[in-house]
Amino acid sequence: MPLNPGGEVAGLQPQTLALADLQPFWPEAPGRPLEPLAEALGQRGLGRPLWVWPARPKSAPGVYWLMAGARRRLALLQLGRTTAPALVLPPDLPLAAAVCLALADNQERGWNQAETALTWHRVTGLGDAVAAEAAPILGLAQSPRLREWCLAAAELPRPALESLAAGRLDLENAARLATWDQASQLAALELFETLLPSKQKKREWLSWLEDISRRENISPARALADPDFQAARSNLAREGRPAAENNLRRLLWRRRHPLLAELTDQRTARVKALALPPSARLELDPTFEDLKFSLNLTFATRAEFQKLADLMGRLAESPVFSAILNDDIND
Amino acid sequence: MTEKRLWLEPEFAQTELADNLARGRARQVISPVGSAGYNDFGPGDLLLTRHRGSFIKPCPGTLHYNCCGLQIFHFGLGCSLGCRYCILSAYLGTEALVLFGNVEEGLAELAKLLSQPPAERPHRFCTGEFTDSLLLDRRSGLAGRLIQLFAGSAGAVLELKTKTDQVDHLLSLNHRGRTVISFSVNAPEVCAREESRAAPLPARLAAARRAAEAGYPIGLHFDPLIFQPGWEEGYQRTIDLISRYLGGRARVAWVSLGCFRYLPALKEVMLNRHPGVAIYDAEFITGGDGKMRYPRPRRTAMYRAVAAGLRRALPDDTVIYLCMESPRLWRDVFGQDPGTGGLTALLDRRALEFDSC
Repeated sequence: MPLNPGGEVAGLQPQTLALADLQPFWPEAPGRPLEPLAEALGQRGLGRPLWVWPARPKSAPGVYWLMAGARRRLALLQLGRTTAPALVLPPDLPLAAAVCLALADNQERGWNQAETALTWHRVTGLGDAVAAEAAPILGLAQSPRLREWCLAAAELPRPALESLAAGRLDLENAARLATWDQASQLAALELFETLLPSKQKKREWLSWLEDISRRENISPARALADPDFQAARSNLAREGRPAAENNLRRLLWRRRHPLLAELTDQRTARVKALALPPSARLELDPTFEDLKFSLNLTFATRAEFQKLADLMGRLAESPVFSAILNDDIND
Repeated sequence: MTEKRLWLEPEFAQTELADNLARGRARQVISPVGSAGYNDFGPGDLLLTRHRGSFIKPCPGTLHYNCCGLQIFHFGLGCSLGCRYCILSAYLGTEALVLFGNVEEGLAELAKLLSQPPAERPHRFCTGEFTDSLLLDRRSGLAGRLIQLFAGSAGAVLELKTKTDQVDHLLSLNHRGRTVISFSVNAPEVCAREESRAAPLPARLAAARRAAEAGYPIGLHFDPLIFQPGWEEGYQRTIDLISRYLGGRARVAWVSLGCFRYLPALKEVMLNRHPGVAIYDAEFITGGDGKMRYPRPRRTAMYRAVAAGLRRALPDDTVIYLCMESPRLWRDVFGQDPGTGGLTALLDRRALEFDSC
């Protein structure tokens, strides 16, 4: 069916239909406030007609699927309108064609990730043939992984979809969250909304929480209920977001890595005991793999160099320094 | 139950190897598949394909860690044993088995290399790096041919590595002490939980005893050592079993120790495949080779304990070595670091001690 540049379908004339008779074909996606649209429609009227498709032409001839214009319909209802002009797609139009026409009509304004996820979820439920035609329009043709993420993310509760729509949550992490129980989803989401970590940090935190959850046989929500985590979050106002985020990351890391945390504490105490001057910086491997150590010396004069040389001599004899190089544990 | 299928490239469809591999499998001839296409095959699939390139590769050792300098005869890849730590799953992304139909070309390449003077070529070769050496061997017959090839090659030793107990078809061969049959072993509960499709540990050790009685030197590979509650007792039970099955009679050439390590991508693969798997919940660091490893102090503790148990159980001349470990670990566990060159030389000398000619 040819689509003219103005969004008109060749050969179809708009009809005035009751808004109450239009059933939304697509799930309602969050993230786009209606008020600006309602205001624009109030001032300029409906530029393009809605697109509808007879839902059950024989048994319910006056009932239509609303294929394109769901938000405009809601805005018109908000303005108190009861009817609107609509193009009625032919009842014998193949489902895939109707879906693709509707998607193409919406494509002009761009999709947020929640809309993409929900739309893909809906399209997938219509069968493989429809999905195959719709995937390129949704920008999902080339990536099976992206399609999987969308399907998973579409199952998330409303607050997560709103976060996704606003770009504060990404599809990859949303899909990961979708495998969690709802209390844990909301707990993690609240953490993200409070501290606004980067996508990379979200991925890291979710991974750690999953590991902790499996290892301790508790839900991520229960892990996040730890008083230390709660305190880190509640200090946001006092510390500022970057500090609060770092603090929470540190706590999560320690809970995930108790051995490394213990070794780090031990090493930190030993390095402190060395009382090195600022001009001698000992660089230690945070992973404790210790494939090499390095000592960074900074000096401006021969006298300063001599002091550092003396320091190195003392370090070589220092049992604390030896302990740093030879750290070990007993399991 | 997964249907077993044999996928054949046309040039191998009418071969004896294909007929042997096809028993119990549905045959299907397909267009030639490149290595990038291996991922299209899954559990239950066996692909007979052409290998392009050399059949002999050095063990893919990595920077910062000592390698034992083994040469790999590359006859196939993948494994259907489904061990839940198996790094092949991350490398290959599939549970399919791939065998090379043009293995005759590989045998010719190997024979040519072995015909060179021993001083001018490597001494130790194995087949079990990218797949299990003996998993399909009763059908492919490859190990027997390799054993005979090495029996005729002075200064060269073959190592067959397996988690199966399928050695009986090899026992009557004249190996001349130039083939080591090696078994991957682990703590009994790790074998049961993480290697559930492999032969049970006692069956592996019984097979080792039969191989030893047939004069084969034996190798044991504690790899991967898995950290879990009670790990020390678990590994000691395995050492006790080794003493019971192999004590006194067997000639154990070497025992390798390697703590669990994995490419980061493996975790997601395995958690998707086995949601209850717990071995990835331990603490790991990213090693110098990009693989996830237990923190060094933990590895040190595990190596020390298992090596001490093995020292008590095995003859003094048994070589115990670390697989892909850092010089620091070597020093902490054994008091010295042989380096890759030293480790290779040590194992080469040990391998040649069993030559019965």
